[in-house]
Amino acid sequence: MSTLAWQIVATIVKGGIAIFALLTAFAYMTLVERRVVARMQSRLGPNRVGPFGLLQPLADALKMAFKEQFVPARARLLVFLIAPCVSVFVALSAFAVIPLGDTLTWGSGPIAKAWAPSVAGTLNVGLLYLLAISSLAVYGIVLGGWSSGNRYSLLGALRSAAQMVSYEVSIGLSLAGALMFAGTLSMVGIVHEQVHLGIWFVLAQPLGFVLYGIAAVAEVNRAPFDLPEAEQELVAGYLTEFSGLRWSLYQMSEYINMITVSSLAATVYFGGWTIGANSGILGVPFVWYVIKVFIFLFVFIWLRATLPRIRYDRLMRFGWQVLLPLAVANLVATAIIVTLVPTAAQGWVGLLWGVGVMLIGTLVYAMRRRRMTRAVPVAKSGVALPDSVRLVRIEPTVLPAPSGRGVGGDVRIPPRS
Amino acid sequence: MIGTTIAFYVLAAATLLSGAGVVLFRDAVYSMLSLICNLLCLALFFLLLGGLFIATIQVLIYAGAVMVLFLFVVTMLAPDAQAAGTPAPGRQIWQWGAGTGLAVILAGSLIVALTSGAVARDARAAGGDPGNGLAEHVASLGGNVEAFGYALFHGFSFPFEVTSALLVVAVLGAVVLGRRASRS
Repeated sequence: MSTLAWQIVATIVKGGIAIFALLTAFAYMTLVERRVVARMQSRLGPNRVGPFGLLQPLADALKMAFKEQFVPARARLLVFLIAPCVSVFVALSAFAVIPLGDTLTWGSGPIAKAWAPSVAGTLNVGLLYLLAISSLAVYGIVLGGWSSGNRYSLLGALRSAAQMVSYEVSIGLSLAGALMFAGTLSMVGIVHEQVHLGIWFVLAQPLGFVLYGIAAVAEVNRAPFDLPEAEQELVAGYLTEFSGLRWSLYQMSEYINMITVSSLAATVYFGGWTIGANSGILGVPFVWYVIKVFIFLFVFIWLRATLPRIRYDRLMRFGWQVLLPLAVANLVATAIIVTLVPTAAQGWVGLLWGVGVMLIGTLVYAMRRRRMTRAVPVAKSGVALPDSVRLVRIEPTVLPAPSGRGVGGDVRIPPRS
Repeated sequence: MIGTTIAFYVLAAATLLSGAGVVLFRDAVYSMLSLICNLLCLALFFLLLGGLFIATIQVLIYAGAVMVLFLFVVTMLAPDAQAAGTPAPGRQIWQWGAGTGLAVILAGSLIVALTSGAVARDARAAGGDPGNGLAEHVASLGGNVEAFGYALFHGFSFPFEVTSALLVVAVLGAVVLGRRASRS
């Protein structure tokens, strides 16, 4: 067979394997998430179906498959049916450029090259492709919310559109810092450059990595940024009218997106499939990659179990007024470093810059926080309250009259206004 | 080669159909979805021509960013066939004068740039001799992205500037059309 034919066959087979692996990973991520969150909340989690609940995803899939797929009367039928598929399609195709291993570990002939372990091979604009495809993810959500013919769905969808568009900018800008060090858009090239420079970009770009991490959590709509699904305000956001398999398609795309942004972090900031010069155990290239991605996925679950949901206006303000300026500053500083500092020292100067900014930021935040939480008596009512709640109208309470002094005990019940 | 030709005609049909959909659909959301299809088809055209970088940028900017904002506005406002607002008031005289002056300066400098032959020379330098193969030229510059950057900032800065002028005009037009008539 010709090289082209080999490549086509290889791409199809690799695509099939990748889709199967991603769907399995999705199914077991739901189990892992439920077990881990349960453990963090001192519960047991699902443990009845099979040993340790290992067959739970299968049972869930069966249940989903046989549920009624409800279509609201006011839904725009065609878009309503297509929207979940768009979500999954985008999520799956974004994964195509993630490199799971090096070409060289599989030989260097044309056939071995065709079977190189990333689905689309070594695309020389790999990172841009990933950003382009994942910027389409918002369509699945907005169209799903709009076509449901339900105000809550629409509001959830619009929130998510605003959120994803806002945080996408920060993702792109924070990745651009690492790109300047790498000097290439190819995902494989970025990993090679990290091996070549002998430094992971998480060290050269610590600030960029932190910004990317925050923005990535917001981008995949996970807690604490899961505004589109805020139950208290929006029922279930864009998911409200979806049931059965269509609902699980949305879940699927959320988890696959999680895997993709974790893979991106592992590739751009943590050396992808390599640890130092070592690129795999016993010739299997993707062991390190899988371990790294799993750690990131665990952090996603950890965050969800730990942090409360952020309020919508604060989310937007944080994205535009904190994250974006920091990302731009990081980009400018990186450009200066790459231009002026000799190549060997660039990474370490970058580390100095990133850690310095983060230290100063933490210091400023700590000082502000102390001021905000310090109790000061409010002139009118004589109540000692933190600065930050001074503007809140004090509601009359039914506590017993306090006695004694101190910040907590000094609160007097204000007269009914 | 036959594969490329078939792909071209299929794509062309899809592009024209989705383009027609933009103007023929009554519902603004469906028009917009057709426009997204159209833009994605254009990206595939670029891919067919070997412009991997431009295809990606096309998806990233148009389908990924611009159309999302359109979708946001269209789904939120759910516009119906309302009559457009009253026409905006007339320009001040000095605005006419300043606009005309700037337009003359811009047009003059562009004409000079075109007729002096510098543009054509730069374009040849960046785009390569049409007689040679494009693939070899791209390879000689070190790849798709590099070739694009070289062409954009060396040879095609003229069309680039013209396009940006066009975009500014479009923004101004949108502001003029969108603003409400003043009370006085």
